Amino acid sequence: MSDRPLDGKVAFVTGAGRPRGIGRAAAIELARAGADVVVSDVARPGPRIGGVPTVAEDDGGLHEAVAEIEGLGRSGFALVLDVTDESEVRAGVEAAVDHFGRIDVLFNNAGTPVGVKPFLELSTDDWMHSWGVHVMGCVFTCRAVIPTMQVNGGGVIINNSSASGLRALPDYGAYTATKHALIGLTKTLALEFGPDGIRVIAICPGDIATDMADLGIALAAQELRLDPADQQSLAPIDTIALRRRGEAAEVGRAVAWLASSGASYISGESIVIDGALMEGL
Amino acid sequence: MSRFGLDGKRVLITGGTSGIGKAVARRFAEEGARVGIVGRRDDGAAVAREVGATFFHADVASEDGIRAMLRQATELFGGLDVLILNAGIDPGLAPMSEVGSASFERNLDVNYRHVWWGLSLGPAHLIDGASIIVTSSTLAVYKVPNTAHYAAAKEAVVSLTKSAALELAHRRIRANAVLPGTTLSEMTPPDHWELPVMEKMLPMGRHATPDADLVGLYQFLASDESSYITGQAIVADGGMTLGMSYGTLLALGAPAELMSPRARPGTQAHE
Repeated sequence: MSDRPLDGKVAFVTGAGRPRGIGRAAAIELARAGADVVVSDVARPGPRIGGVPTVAEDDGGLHEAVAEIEGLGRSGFALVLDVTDESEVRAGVEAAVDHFGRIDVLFNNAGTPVGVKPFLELSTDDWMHSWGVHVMGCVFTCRAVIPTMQVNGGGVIINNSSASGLRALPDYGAYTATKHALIGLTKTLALEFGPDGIRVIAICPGDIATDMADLGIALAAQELRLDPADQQSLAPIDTIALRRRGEAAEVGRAVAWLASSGASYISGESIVIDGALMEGL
Repeated sequence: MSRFGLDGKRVLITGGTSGIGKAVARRFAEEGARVGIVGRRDDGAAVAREVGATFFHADVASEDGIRAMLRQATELFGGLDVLILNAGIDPGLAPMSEVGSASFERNLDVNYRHVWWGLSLGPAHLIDGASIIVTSSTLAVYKVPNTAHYAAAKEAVVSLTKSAALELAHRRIRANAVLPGTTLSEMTPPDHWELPVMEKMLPMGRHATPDADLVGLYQFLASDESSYITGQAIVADGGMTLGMSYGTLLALGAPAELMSPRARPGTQAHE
C-alpha cells in the first residue's frame, strides 16, 4: 500500500471545527494520505449545556485545519454549513465541487451530545435535534454528494456512528437511538449504491479523548450528582482492555485507511475502534 | 517509517503457501517485513522463495506442529511482531447428518484447534505491542446450509480472538479476526459453482481477490495505523451479508423496473 493511497482524491468532512475532535483529526489524516480536504462545520453558536458549547462556535478551527492541511502540502477548503439545513448542505457541496472538481470521500462526522439526558427529561426538541444532526445530516450530505460520486464512477462514504450505535448506556437515550439509526442507514446505502462502486461504512469509536466525549461524561456525572473528581468512574479506563482512552488521530487513521483502496471490499460494515471496550470484561 | 510501515516487522503466517496467506506474505515481504510461512506442502520452500519469505515446515493441525513452527520462527527471527493464523481447509459441502467423524475431526484440527494452539502458545513468542490476525469467514456470522462444521469452527475462532484480545491487552497485543466473503483463491477456483451464484448476491457485483481486496486489511491490522482496534471481527465481503442485493431480488423474480437504474440487468457495475 502506498504511503499516500489517497493521492488525487478529494475528501469532504463535516464537524471538523473543533481542535480536539475526530473531524479535525480525520481531515489531517486524510491529507497525510494524499487527499485534498474540504473541512466544514456549523461554526456558529449552538446549544450549550451547563454553559459549555456543544459545537465549534466560530470558524477559527476550520481555518486552523486548512492551514495544517496546507502545511502537509495538500489543499484545504473551509466551509461553514449546518448539516441539519438541506439548503446549506447543497450550497456547500456545490461550492466544494466548484472548488475541487469532485468529491471522492465523504466523512459524515458532525455529532451532538444533545440527547444525552435521562429519558424522562429529554424534550421533543432534544430528540429532533439529535435526529437532525446524526441522521438527517447524513441524509442531506448523501443526497447532495452521491450523484457526483455516481458520475465519477464511485466513492467512499464513512459515517461516524459510535459504540452507542451498537450498545446502550443509561441517560444516552436519543444519542443511542439516533446512532443506531445511522448504522441502519449505512447498510441500506451500501446495498443501494454498491452497483455504482460506492462503499458506505460506519465507524463506531469508543471512549475517544474529545471535547464531546468529555461533555457527555460530565453530563452523565451531573445527572448522577457525582463530584467532578469522581467523573472518571463513569468512563473507567479499567473497562477498556487497552487501558487507555483512544486518541482522535487513531480514529482519523482508520477513516483514512477505510477511504483507501486497501479497504476495497469492505462495505456496509460497522468498524469498531474502541480498544476492546465492548468485547467483554 | 512509512505510513503502513511493516519495515523490519517479523511476521509468521500459517497457511501462507496459497490463497490469501500467500498474497499477504508477498505484500508484507515487499513492504519490508521478514516473513515466515508455514505449511506441509512439498513446494512450500519454492513458494517462500517466490514471495520473498522463509518456509517453516510444520503441520499446523497438531500441537507439536505449532510448537515446532513457533520454535523455528523464534530461533530465526528472535521474536515475532505479527502472528497471522490463517491456515484453513474446506471440508466440503454436506448436511450435518452426512458429515462423518473423519471430516469433523479434520475440520476441528485445522480450522479450530490450530487457532487455539496459536493463540495459547503464540503469545510467549510475541513482543509486547504485537498484532495477531485470525482468518475467519463470513460463515461465522451468516449461515449457509451444508457448511455446519466449517461455519461453527469459523465462529468459534472469532470468540477465541476476542478472548485473546482481552487477555493480552495488558501487553498491548491486539487480536482481530478477518471475515472474508467468497474470495477467488485455490479454495474457490474460477470454475467453482459458487461463483456465479454468489455473484448475484454481491451488492458490489464482484468477488474479492486476495491481492486487490484483502491484503490491505491484513496490512492495516498488522500496522500501527490500527492501534486502537482490537477484539474485532472485520467483515470484508462486498456487502454480501447485509441483506438482499438487487441481484438477489432480480434472481428471485422481482421486476427490474423497481430496481435502481444502475442495478438493472445489462448495466455494468463499476470497479
